[in-house]
Amino acid sequence: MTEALEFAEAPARRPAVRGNAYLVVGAVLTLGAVLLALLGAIWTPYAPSAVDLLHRSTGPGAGHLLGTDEYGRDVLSRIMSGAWRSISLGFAAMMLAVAIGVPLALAGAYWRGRLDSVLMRFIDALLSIPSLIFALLIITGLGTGHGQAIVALGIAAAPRFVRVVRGAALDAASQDYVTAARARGEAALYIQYREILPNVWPPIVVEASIFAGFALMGGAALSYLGLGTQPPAADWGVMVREAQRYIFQSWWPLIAPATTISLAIVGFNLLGEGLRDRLQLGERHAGE
Amino acid sequence: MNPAFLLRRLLHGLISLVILSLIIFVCTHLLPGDAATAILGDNATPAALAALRARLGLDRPLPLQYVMWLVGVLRGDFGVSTTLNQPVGELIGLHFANSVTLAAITLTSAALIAVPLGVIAAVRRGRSLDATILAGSYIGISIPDFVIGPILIMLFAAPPLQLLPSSGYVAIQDSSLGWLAHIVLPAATLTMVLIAHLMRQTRSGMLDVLASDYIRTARLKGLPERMVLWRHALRNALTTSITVLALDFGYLMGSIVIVEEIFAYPGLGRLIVYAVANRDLPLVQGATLVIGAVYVGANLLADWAHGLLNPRVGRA
Repeated sequence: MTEALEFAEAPARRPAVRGNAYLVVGAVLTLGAVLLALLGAIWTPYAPSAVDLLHRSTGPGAGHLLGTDEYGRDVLSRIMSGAWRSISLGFAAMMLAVAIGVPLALAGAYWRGRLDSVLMRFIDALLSIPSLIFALLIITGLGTGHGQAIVALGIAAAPRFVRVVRGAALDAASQDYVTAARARGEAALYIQYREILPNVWPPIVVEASIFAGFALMGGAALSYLGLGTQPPAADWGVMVREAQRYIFQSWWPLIAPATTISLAIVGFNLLGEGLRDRLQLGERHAGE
Repeated sequence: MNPAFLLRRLLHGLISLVILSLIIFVCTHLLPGDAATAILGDNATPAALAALRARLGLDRPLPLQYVMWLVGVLRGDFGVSTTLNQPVGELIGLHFANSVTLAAITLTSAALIAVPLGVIAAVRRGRSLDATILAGSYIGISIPDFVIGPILIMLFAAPPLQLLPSSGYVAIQDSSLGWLAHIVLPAATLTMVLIAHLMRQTRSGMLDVLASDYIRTARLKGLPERMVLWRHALRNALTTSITVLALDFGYLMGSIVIVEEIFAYPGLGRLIVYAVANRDLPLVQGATLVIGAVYVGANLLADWAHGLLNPRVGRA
């Protein structure tokens, strides 16, 4: 079981109204985070790494909306450029996990047999490593950095995607339209990607949304540990790490990234859960 | 319970460990630069490097090195740390107990707080108390550990309160009060991370129990509601919580790495971060293998506990 699983665990099914509220709040927060990231990629009020020794640790105010840190760097600018790094990392790691996981799951569900059982044994073994430890191992192999963190988190999450998608793909592969396609003599890859895949996208989307939030958190955690984005570049994890060092002097350089990252993660999680409710996935409680 | 089921789980656990050891070995051999270059530095002469490689067995083919490493591990020999010049086994032993202490305190306090709250939320389902507890757990799940930790430092270690030390460790033999003061914040951070999840699971387990036939029977035969809850429902909900707690152990192990780093707490997690950051390959190998083994062991324990508590498991 991975940490990502904990976030993906099926909640009690709630009325559709609540599901819609989740979806709306989640979509708004996610969209806000994405817009902040896109804006941060092209424009920030100040240069994010510009040191201003005359205005060190100034509180939030007119010149610097969220104040400055111990080096006089504008906190808002760093949050915005950090948003780009953190959010793009979440999306990239998510896409990598999907790109590895989905083909393996489809192949396993389509061919079954020995290939599938060996694959699943391997996946089970991978799932029995805490995913942060797995990611740390990959970083040992690749070295530290932003790109390496993406690869590490994406690979570490791929087994989970194989598990989730394979379950749905097995159901789809036993349907009549797949049997019919086989009987027509369609190519294996055609059946996997044109017949099965369109019918398993709901769990993929739900899982991907929840994992994007998790990868965002994992990437920031790696940066916090000093193994992801390297200073002076800022992402939210680096910001928390540096703010902690000067916590006895000022608190706003900590509170600003802490709030932003938590809101972004809430957004992705709510979006995933709202989608799950909307798509009628997940466990149902007896008697409801 | 069915011994064949346990045996099968044990076998799966062992296969997982073998695959983990393979992954560890592959990952630690991806980058150029081996233990010999780490020990002698970049300016070492090729002759000195070759001599050291021959002495450490690094000149042999990789599959052979893998087998030699495994055989060593089985004998309790994890090699020597390249940056600390100490046997890896010794380093792991020194840090392991600290992590176990932290984990034990966390699991206990999380269970004592989260299980009652989860039960209350389920019983008060749909009321404002339930909504509050659920919202609280949602917020808890979404705030990462590396944010909770520094915020607790800000609140309790920084001025104006300055109640607790912000990092470090004091051995319990040296000062029990100092030990306690240093472990409060790391344990509190981990507990907060765990509570949110455990609470949701307990609530959901208790809801399942409350919706089951035997609870309906108990109500229909006229038992007072308090009796139904305390005698019938709670016992079964607790078995769910125990299993969840065992499974949560894996969740805890990921967090403990980060929390130990936040508070400079000398445990296995911090040792791993140090090893990865400094590319101390024997230390990475040994420490991750031990963490993986503990995780696999905890999962086995959870399976076993689950089987004991629920005889239907493992019959098939």
